[in-house]
Amino acid sequence: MSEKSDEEIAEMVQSGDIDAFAALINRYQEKMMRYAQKFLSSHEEEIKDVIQVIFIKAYKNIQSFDPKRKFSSWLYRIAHNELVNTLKKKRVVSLSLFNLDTFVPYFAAENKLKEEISRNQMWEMVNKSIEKLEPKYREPLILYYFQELSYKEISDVIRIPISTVGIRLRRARKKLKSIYKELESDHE
Amino acid sequence: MDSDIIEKIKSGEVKMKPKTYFILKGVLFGFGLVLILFFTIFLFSFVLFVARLNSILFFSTFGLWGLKTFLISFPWASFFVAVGSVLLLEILTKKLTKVYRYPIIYSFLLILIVILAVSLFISKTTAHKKLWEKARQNQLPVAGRLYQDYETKKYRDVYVGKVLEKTDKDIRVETEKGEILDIMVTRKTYFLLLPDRKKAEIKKGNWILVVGKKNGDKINALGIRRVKRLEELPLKIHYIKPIDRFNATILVKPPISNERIEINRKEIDLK
Repeated sequence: MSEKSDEEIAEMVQSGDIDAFAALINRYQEKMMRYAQKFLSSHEEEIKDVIQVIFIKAYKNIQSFDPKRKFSSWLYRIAHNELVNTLKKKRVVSLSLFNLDTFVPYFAAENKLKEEISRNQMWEMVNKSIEKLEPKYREPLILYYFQELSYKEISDVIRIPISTVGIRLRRARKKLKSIYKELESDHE
Repeated sequence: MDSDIIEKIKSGEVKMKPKTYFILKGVLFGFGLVLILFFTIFLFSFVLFVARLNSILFFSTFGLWGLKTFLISFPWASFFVAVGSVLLLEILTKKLTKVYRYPIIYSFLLILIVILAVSLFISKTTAHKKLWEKARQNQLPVAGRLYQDYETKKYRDVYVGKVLEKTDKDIRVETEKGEILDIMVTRKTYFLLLPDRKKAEIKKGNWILVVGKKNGDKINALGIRRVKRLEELPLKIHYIKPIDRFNATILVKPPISNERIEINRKEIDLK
């Protein structure tokens, strides 16, 4: 099973191989846990419940998965929907239907984007400050730096234009920097 | 965690949805999308058709009064429902793969351009005329009321009549209701598509639309244009002379009988 791709295993699940689904769970459990922990900032038991719901939904809807596409994007999309619903139920924030930054194009190409800070620095800042970011900016940050998804993959997960992914990451970094500076000055 | 989930699957507590469910969902979604698209095109083409038939855009050439009449006479209800449909289409198409990868403005403009282009084309065909005739005979459910409402619309200071006779200073017309009106032409009278302001192109038997204040049975014409009544619109356009820039006359020969149609075609061939 380890030599098979996610898509091949998903096809096996579609054919009725239930044990193949266990392999997919094992592959993605940790990633989903990290994603949910950073996004929800909840305690572990709640996170586990949410993760279980994500995988159950993935199984129920496995027949809608197209093996020609990437399984990870499809699963992350289910995870995104579930995490957003959890946030809405907790009424932490209202996630608006229309975001102005999805209306017009922004020129923020991934490979040309100037990295003002290194990934290590980003990790440190994010770990300390991420809870204070709005979900709108928190999520692309998590997906990009922690889950290491590309702009295109993030666009498929959150269903926003690719250019908007770039602009949200840029804004997230900016906000994170100022939050981090505030935290650092509080400690001093 | 994996063992818990697998246990639930094996016990039947969690069941996989069948593939047919997703196929049916996709088909219904596609069908709904197409239905909304057709509905939007119908509405936009209806708006354009009504605007053309009632010369609504012509009113806007008469300053503040014209603007007010234009605003009152424009089919706003249909227009706003059509705009709402476009927004709905935009929301639905965003669910399609690849469409969400691009900013909303791109897909919105594309949808709008396609719809307007198709609507403009349809408004110039006889489609709405045929539907209108069915509506008059109460043979058109649902949409019939829409056509009937716009047929009965009357606009203040706007008169439509058939030319009975004309002189240098006025034109005598008879309205559909049989009312005889004298249209007073002055230097200020604006003739649409007639750059030299002569009324020479208006002949006896033509239908004209007149904008102006009524005083008894006289109207001081602010503007005059030739119009076609719905009945005059041909079912088939056999021969159209291109609009002559300087004469501004459109020649459309409505079919009188099948025989005459054949004769006309032969005449054209000989030419």
